[in-house]
Amino acid sequence: MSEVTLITGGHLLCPWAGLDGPGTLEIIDGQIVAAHAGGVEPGPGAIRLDATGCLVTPGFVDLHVHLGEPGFEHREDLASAGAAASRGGFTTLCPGPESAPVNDHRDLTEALVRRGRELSGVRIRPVAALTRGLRGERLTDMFDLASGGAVAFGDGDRHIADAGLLRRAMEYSRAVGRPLFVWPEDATLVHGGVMHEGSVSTRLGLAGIPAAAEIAAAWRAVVLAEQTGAVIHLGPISTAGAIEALRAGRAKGLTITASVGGAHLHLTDEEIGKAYSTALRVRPPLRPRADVEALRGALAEGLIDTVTSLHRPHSAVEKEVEFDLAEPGMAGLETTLGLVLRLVDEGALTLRRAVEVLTAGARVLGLPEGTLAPGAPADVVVFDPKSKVRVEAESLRSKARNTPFLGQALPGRVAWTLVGGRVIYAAERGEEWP
Amino acid sequence: MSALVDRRLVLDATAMRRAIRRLAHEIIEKCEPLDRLALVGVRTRGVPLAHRLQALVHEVEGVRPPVGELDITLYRDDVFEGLDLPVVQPTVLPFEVAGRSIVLVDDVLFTGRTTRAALDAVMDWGRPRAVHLAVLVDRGHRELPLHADFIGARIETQRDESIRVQLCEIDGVDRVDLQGRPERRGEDA
Amino acid sequence: MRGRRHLLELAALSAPEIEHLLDLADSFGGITQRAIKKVPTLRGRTVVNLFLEASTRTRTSFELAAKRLSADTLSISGGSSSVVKGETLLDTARNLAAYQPDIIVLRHRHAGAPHLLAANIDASIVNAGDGAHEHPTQGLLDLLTIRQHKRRIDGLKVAIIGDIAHSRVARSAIVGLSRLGAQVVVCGPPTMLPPGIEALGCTATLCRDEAVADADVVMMLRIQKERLSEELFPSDREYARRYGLDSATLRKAKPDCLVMHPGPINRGVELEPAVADGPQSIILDQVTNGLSVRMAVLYHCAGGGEA
Repeated sequence: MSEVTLITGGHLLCPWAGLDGPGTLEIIDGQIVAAHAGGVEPGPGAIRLDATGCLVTPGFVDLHVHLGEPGFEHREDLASAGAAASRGGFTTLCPGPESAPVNDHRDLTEALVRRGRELSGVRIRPVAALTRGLRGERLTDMFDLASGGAVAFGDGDRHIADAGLLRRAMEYSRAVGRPLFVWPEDATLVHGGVMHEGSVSTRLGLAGIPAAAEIAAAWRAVVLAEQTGAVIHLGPISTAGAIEALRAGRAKGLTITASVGGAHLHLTDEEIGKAYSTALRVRPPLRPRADVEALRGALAEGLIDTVTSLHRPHSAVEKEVEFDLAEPGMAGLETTLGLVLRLVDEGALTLRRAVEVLTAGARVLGLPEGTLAPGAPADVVVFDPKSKVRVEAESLRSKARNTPFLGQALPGRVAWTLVGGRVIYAAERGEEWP
Repeated sequence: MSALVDRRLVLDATAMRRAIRRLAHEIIEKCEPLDRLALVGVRTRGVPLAHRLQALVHEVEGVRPPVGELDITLYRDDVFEGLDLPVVQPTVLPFEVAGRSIVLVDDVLFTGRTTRAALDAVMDWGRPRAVHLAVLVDRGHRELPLHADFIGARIETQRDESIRVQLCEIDGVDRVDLQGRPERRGEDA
Repeated sequence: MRGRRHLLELAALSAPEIEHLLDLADSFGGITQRAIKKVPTLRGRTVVNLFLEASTRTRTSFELAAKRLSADTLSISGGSSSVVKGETLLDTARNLAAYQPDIIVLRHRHAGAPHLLAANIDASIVNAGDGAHEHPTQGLLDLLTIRQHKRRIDGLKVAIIGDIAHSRVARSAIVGLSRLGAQVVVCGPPTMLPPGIEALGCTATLCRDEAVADADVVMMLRIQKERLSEELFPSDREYARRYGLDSATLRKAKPDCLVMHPGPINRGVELEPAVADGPQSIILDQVTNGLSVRMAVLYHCAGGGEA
C-alpha cells in the first residue's frame, strides 16, 4: 500500500518547479507527485500536515559542511549533525574531505553515504578529496570515488599550491563528470594570518589575511577553468575581488558556480575588534563592509549561486583559547536559514531568491533533489518565515556552540522537515514556540 | 522642620586666630630646641595651618621651622572602600626627617585614623626624634588610642555630626561650623 | 566580571583617564626618593605576574611596583608554567584564580589574551604586552617621560620609526599620544607599515627624514629579529642606513628633540651608539618611570573591585 502525505494550507514556493502560490503538495512513496493549486481531499491513511501560514519549499542543500565524523566526534557526529541540519531546514549535506581519515577512498565515501543517511536522517553527499591525503601531490581515484557516491572533488580548504597539478585535475574531472571544488585561498599569502588584513587587524595586532590571498587564487582557478573547460565551483568566496574573477569567467561562458557563507553576508571584521571573540575566527575571514555589500549584490544578481552554512563545529576546547590559537570556523546549520531570511527582511533579497540560494546547491551538483517538481525526491521543508527563533546554547541540536549569533533572534521557524517523504523533524510546541 | 543642614558656628575668624596663636606658643614652649623643629601639614587643610604656625613661630622666636606637606592616601586603611579612588597627591618633606622633632598639623582630630596613617607615612621617610600632634579642633570620638599634644579648641559633638573647617587660603573665609545631618534629625524627631 | 577594573589597552581609555593615570604615576614617583621606598597601600593583596613570554624588564618592573605597594606577589614565567605542558592559558589562569589574586598581570605572545582572561577570570587583568597588540604600561611610561620633559603632550610632533607592524609598543604609543593631542608620524619600510595604521591616529611615511623633520620626540623601535618569520628587509646594514637614527638625521629634528627607545637596543642597527648615549636620549628615564607607572596602574586596578 502506498504511503501518501499531503502538505496543505501553505504557500508553495519553488523557483525550479515554477511554484509560487497557495496549494497542496502531494507526496506518494517518498516522491513528489503533484502540486495542486487548491485543496485535496485526503484518502484513508494519508498523513496530512497543516502548513497554514508557512512556506513549503524544497529542502535546503549545503555544499560546505563538516560533520565531525569520522575523526572529530567530540565536535559533532552524524546524528547530531543531522539533528541540527533538519532543524535548520537542510536535507542534503556535502561534507568536505577533511575528516580523519581523509575521505580519499571509496570505502569511506560509501560508508559516509550509507551510515550518514541512517544516522543523520538527511542525505549525505560527500565531496571527496582531489589529492591523496590532501597532500596536493597525487590525484585520488576519482572515477572510483564517484561511483562510491562522491558528488564533487576538492581538497577542502587546503590550497593546491601546484598549479600544474590543478590544471591536470581540472582536465581529468571533465571525464569523471563531477565538478571540481576550489577553495580560493593562496596559503603563501595567508602566511599565518588569522583575520582579514586591514585597519582592524592592524589595530588588534592580529596577523592579517590579505584579500589578495582569495582574489589571486580565484583568478588562477578561472584562468585554468578557461584553459581546461572544466566545471568548477568557486567557494566559499568573501571578497569583491573574487566576485570580479567570477564575473569575468561567467562572461566568457565558463561553467563556474560559486557559494558564500551565511555569516559572511552579515558580519564584518569590525566585530572582532570588540573583544577578540574566537567565534568570529572563520575561514574565509570576515571582511569589511564593502565586501559584504558586494557579496549581497552578487548573490541577489545570481552571480553567486548558493549560500552555505560553512558548518564547522568546534568544542569549547578549540575555541576557549587565544584568537590566534582558536580553530577557525563557526557552527552554521541552525542559523543559515535565519541569516538568509534576515537578508529578505533587510530588502537585500526577494523571498523567491532566498529559497533559490538555499536550494541551488542541488543544481550546482546536478542532483535530483532540491525541487518540488513532480518525480523529485520529496525533500521538503515547511517553515514560517516571519516567526523568530532565538539562538540559544540550550536549544541548539548541534553538539557545537561556536556561533556568534547566540542570544539573537533570527527569522524563520521550521515546522517540518521531510527527507524522501518522511518527517525527520517536527517542531514541538514549547520547544520551538518561545 | 528645615530640610537644610543645621549649621552652628563654633569658631569665627577671631576665635580661630586666637586658637592658632595659642597653638604656636605651646609648640614653642614644648619643642625646644627650635632649630630641630619641623611642621608637617596633613593634606589638605593641615598644610595652610602649618604655614600659619610657621609664621607665628618666626614672629615670636625669629626662627623659621621648615614646613612639609603630607599626603596620607596610600596609608589610609579605608583607601579602597569609597566609590571613587582618592587622588594621590605628592608628599613634600624638604628636610631630613631623621633626628627632627616633628609636629604633625591637622585641622580636626576625630577617630584618630588619619593621624595613624600620617604617623606611618612620616616614619617611612626616616626616624624622627619625636612626633607631636597639633590640631585646630578636637571633636572627640576616638577609635584609636591617640591624643593631640596641642589643641586649638575642644568641641563637644555627636558622632554623626560633622565639623567643617574653612580656611582663607582654600575657602576664602576663616570659620569652623558644626553641622548635623538632616535625615538623622528627621529620625530623632 | 563584577565590575573589576582592568587595563587591557590604551585604546579603551579616554584622554582624561590617561591623564589621571599619568598624574597618579607622577605622585608615585616620589616614593622612590624616600628612605623607605614602600607604602602599605596593597597590604594583604595578591598580584600574580603571569609572564608567558620572555621578559626581564617589564616583569622586574611590575614585581618591584607590586612590592613597593606592599602586595604579595607571585611570579610565573614561561619556562616554569604548565602552559608548556599543554595546559591552556585559561586553565592556567583558572588554577591561579583559585588563590583569589586581586590582580593578574599578563604578558603573552598572542594578541587578545588579556581580553580572554578578563572575560573568564575573576581578577583585575593588567596587560603587560600581548602579541603585536598593545603594551599599555609602556605607552603610559612613554607619555609620562615625554610629559615630564616637555611639560605637555598636546601639539608635539612625535616620530615613531621602525617595525610598526609587529610592535605593540608602537600601537600603545600611537593611541596614547594621539589621544592626548600629539601629532604622530610613523615611519618604516613598507613591509613594516601595516595597512590602515592611520586609523589609530597617525600619519605614515616611508621617508625617515620627513618623519624626523621638526620632531619634538623621536621614538625608535627595536627590530625584533626573533619575532620576524619572513623577510621584511634585506640586511641590517641597509636598515641602519635607511631607517636607523644617527646624529646627522637627528639634527633635522628640533634642537631639543628627545630620543626614546623601549629597549633593549640593537646598537648600530636602529640607533647609532652616540645617539643612544647622547644628551637627547631619555632612555633611562623611561626605565625609572616604568616603575611609577606600574605602581599607579596596580593601585588603580586594585581599587576597582570594591565598588
